[in-house]
Amino acid sequence: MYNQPTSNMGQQQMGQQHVSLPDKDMANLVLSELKRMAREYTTACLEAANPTVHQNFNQLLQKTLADQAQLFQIMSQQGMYNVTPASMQEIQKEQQKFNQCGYETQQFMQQYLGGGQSGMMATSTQPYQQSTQMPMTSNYGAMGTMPPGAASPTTSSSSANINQSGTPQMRSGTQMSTSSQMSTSTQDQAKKYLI
Amino acid sequence: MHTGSISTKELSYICDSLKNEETIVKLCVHGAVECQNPQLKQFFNHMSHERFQDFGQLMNVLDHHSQYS
Repeated sequence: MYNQPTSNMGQQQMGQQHVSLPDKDMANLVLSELKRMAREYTTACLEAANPTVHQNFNQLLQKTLADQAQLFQIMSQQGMYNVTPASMQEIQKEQQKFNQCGYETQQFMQQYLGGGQSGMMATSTQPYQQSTQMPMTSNYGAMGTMPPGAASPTTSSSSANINQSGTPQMRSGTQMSTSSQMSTSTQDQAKKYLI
Repeated sequence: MHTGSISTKELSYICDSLKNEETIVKLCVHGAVECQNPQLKQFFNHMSHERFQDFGQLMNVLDHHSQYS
């Protein structure tokens, strides 16, 4: 069925011809290949148990990402890759949806982490309400200007406060304040998405 | 298993990666020769050499761990 010499003569002749891809297609092909490689290096990185192998995969992943970004930039400059910007309506629609999602997440966090301990839930809302009206305390003063990803060190610093908290007789009182701080911290983080 | 040795899964990923690097090097050489756009030509030329070094890096990992097998 596939070997019909008479009908394939033309195709064989075409196969002997030198075929070159247009620049745009060639660039797209390499770009796709780099993206595929980045995905595979990511998987390899996640699966590697040996530290040396992991490090090598990670280095190659970073290099692949850099190459991909550079090629994309060239293609973009040459008008080979057009990016369609999202409309304001689409952005606002998603923003609204995730505002609700953020609110539900905040409720979830308040429900389980709010008091820091069981039985503290009733008091846990108090610091949050205060923080919405008052300027932030020194511990969280920078929170408003920090990007979302940078919020975790503040949380860990408040954890450090717990570890540094004093003697056993002070502990109950200290825990009250630190747990309030922690809930304020997590709530502040969640709150940033609601504004 | 020796702590310095690699698993069969890791070996498999290294081999897949070597094959990927080989392919991208050949694609880049093809692009460097065939592309008309000078910027793309230069980029592919440079990247073919870079990626061949990455091929070598993966081969070094294999060489390093072959002594434990």
